[in-house]
Amino acid sequence: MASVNLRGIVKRFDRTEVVHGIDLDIADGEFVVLVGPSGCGKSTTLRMIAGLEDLTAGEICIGDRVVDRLEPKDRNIAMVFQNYAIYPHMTVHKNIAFGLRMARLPKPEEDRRVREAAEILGLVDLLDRRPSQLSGGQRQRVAIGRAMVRNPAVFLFDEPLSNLDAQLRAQMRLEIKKLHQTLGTTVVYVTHDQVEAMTLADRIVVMRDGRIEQIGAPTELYRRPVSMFVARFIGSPSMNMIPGAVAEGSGAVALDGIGTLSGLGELSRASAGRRIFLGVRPDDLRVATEAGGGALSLEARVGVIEPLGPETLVYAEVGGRELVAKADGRISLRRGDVVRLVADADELHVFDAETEAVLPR
Amino acid sequence: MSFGFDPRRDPRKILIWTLLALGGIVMIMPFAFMISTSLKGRGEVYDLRLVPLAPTLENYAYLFRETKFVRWFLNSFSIAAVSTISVLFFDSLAGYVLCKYRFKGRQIVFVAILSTLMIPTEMLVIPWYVMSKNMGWLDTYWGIMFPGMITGFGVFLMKQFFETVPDALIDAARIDGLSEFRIFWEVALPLVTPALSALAIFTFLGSWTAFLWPLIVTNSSSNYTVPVGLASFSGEFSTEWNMIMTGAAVATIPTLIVFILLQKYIIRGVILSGVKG
Amino acid sequence: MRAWYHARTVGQKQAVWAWIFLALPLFFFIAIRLFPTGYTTYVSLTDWNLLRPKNFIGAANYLRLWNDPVFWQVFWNTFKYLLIGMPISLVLSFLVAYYLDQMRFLQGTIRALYFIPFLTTAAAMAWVWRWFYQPVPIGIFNLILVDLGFSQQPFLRSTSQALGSILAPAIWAGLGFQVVIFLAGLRAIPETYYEAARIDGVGRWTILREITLPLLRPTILFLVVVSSIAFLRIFDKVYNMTVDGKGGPLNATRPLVLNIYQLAFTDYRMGYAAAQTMVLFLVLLAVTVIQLRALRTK
Repeated sequence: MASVNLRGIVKRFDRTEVVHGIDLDIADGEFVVLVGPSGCGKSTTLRMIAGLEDLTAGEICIGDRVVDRLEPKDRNIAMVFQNYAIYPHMTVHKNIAFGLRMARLPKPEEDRRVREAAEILGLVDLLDRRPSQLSGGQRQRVAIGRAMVRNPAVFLFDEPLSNLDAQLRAQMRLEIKKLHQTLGTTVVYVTHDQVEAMTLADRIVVMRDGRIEQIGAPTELYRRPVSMFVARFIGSPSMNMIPGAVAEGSGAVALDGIGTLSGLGELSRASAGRRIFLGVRPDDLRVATEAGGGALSLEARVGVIEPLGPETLVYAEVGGRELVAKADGRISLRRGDVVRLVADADELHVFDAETEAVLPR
Repeated sequence: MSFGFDPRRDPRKILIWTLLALGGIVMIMPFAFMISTSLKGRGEVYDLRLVPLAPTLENYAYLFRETKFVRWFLNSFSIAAVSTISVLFFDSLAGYVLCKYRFKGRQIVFVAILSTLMIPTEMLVIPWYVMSKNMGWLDTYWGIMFPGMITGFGVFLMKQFFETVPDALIDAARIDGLSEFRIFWEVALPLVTPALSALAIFTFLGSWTAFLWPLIVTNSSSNYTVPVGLASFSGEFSTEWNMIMTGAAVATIPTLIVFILLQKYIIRGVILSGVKG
Repeated sequence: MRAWYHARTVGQKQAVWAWIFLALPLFFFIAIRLFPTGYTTYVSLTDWNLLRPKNFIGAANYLRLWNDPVFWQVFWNTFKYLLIGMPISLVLSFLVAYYLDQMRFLQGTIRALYFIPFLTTAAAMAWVWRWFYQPVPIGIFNLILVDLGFSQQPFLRSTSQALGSILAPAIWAGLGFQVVIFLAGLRAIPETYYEAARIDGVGRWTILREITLPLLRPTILFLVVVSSIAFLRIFDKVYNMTVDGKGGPLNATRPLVLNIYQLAFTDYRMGYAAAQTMVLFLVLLAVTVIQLRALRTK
């Protein structure tokens, strides 16, 4: 097991720079998820850790050892790929054992490790099959098994679940989490799916255009996003954004077409008139039938209602703008009903419209 | 495309099918006459019936005993086998590198190899002849086969086919700790066997039937390949048609057998390389 | 060396391997293909005859070629092979493929019958056909003609019939390849086009003209080029079907490649032969470039 440290990682392909200097310290045994939209540099970063891609600048340490010039096999890592990347012309057993054979492990030890991995992953009966005879989920287990038997210091996952259907994805997600809890190995996991990131990670690294946007525990990212990008990327449905401007007086904003709102606390770095967005998560927006309560309280007309079972998504119109609120599943509303959307002050986020950064309060 | 006629009931369709089948039979008539005549004695040659009255293997016995056909056959076979192995190995290795590696100069190398496809053999035989003369390769096996040891067509074909091997497999093999050569040999190559078999068949047949260059480079009759030997033999025996047909049959029958055995692969290979190449 | 290698990054190591793997093929292509191309070009500007040292004579070979009636006859013969052989073989093979595609019964077997001649040794088949063309009582064609009450034909012995007599086995041998490629092209056309056309009540000829042929355009272009190149390079058959491989009678069947062969390896006029290979190269290049253009304008 080992820590992973990235210092000023830069990657350039020909003339385009895709990763612009990343610093990241991953502790021993930590499960870190790199998340972001496609093209944000997360996979490239992972491939640089693996040694499949050269660094243009910077330094990577795995377990306090600089690995920049080491070949992948010497970095003490294992990797699971998006398309499984299991060898189609070898049996499951051979696929799992292949890396060990390359490392010239004694045969009994090789068999013991393959057996052990197969038992953990439920592949014992499939060891003599060929990949073409396996389902997508089974193939992904083989790929994980192949990574496991190497006893690596670090596991690297490159979007391992995105080829699976929704149900299987949820199941495999759980298995990967259990595996991490059992083995306690450091994991670096890349995905574009924020649900995967939230459920799996000890810490999430949100990336955008080759830069780190924010690092933090899942709840921290959810509760205190540092930018509109993170706020919208984490959480589903996305955070509501209401445009407005900073108003005169302490902690007051004027929302376009809605009115002035106060009691937000000191907006330290913003002078009056500055354009802002007020963000509020659908989960934090309560649907009430009468006035009162929170710092934000808006009269809204119900548009579309999406019942999801335990909860109901309510799309309601306020001042010509549609907001989403998550209400209790037992609520009974109809299109055209007038309701109040209420939120507390500490559940409101104020972002600078120009820099998109959160305004500290 | 089918128009939904019942072939058993549509007279037009029966007519067309019959014409096509007759055409097919006409296509193989030369082989039938060739083989039939090779089984006829000297007296029966002018009788053009297809089934010989008194079939005999005399011609073959004479051919194998008194001429150098066996030697030519072995020459052709060895040359075709060595060329094929070399082409399979080097063409697939070069195709793999050009497909899967990113390095400075890759594009230039690829264009250079591609451009050799435009140069006809006929334009190169004079320099090859001079080269062989200077190096002492005239009238040797090596002299016959050196121009065909690596082919631009094969490199191009294999490069196209390696596109179907996912890059992630190669990455996974690197993490598993394979050397670069073993990644090619144990991971990538087994996944393009259809292309390899097509390339093998073409190379072997191309070498087996090659005429112009072996005609130029060989000198003594014991170094002839089958086609060159056949040409010289037939020139000598110019009136003994049963012997000439026996020689032609010996040159042709192996490819007919190969075709019957590997028909599926050969036709698939023709289509693959026709569409891709 | 080892230390140097270990100090490289992973990407640099891969580049090292790429060049190691490419070294031999690259050397081969340069030494056996590219360098000789330049060498031929140079030889074409000399009066070299293998015996005495080369003298640079500029474009003299090309001037001689321009004024050489044999060259022009040979050049014209080569185009006759192309201009007669290519269209006939394409039309025939398309007809066979088009109708065979609609048949299910024994389709593979019939296709195989057409394909077999493509695989066989051209030199061997040339002799079989040469035999067919012999006068009575040897040659089957003349026997049939006489049986049917016609007069014998000279075939290979006539300046007017010999070229066609050599073209016949050339078309015969190449037909199967074209049938196979046409069949593959026809099958690649999605059935839904035909179904839609049938629902619209479009006639068979209109379907052929408006759907099948346009969609088959890449296949047709490919075959036009491949068969053009094959006819322009015709050699084996002429060599084996004419007396002493001379392309007679009276050069009536001699194609460019045979002329080059005779000049270079019988007369050892290397410079003049090289100049003619340059002409062949330019003609082949033109055919290929025209095809690439035609594909691009699509």
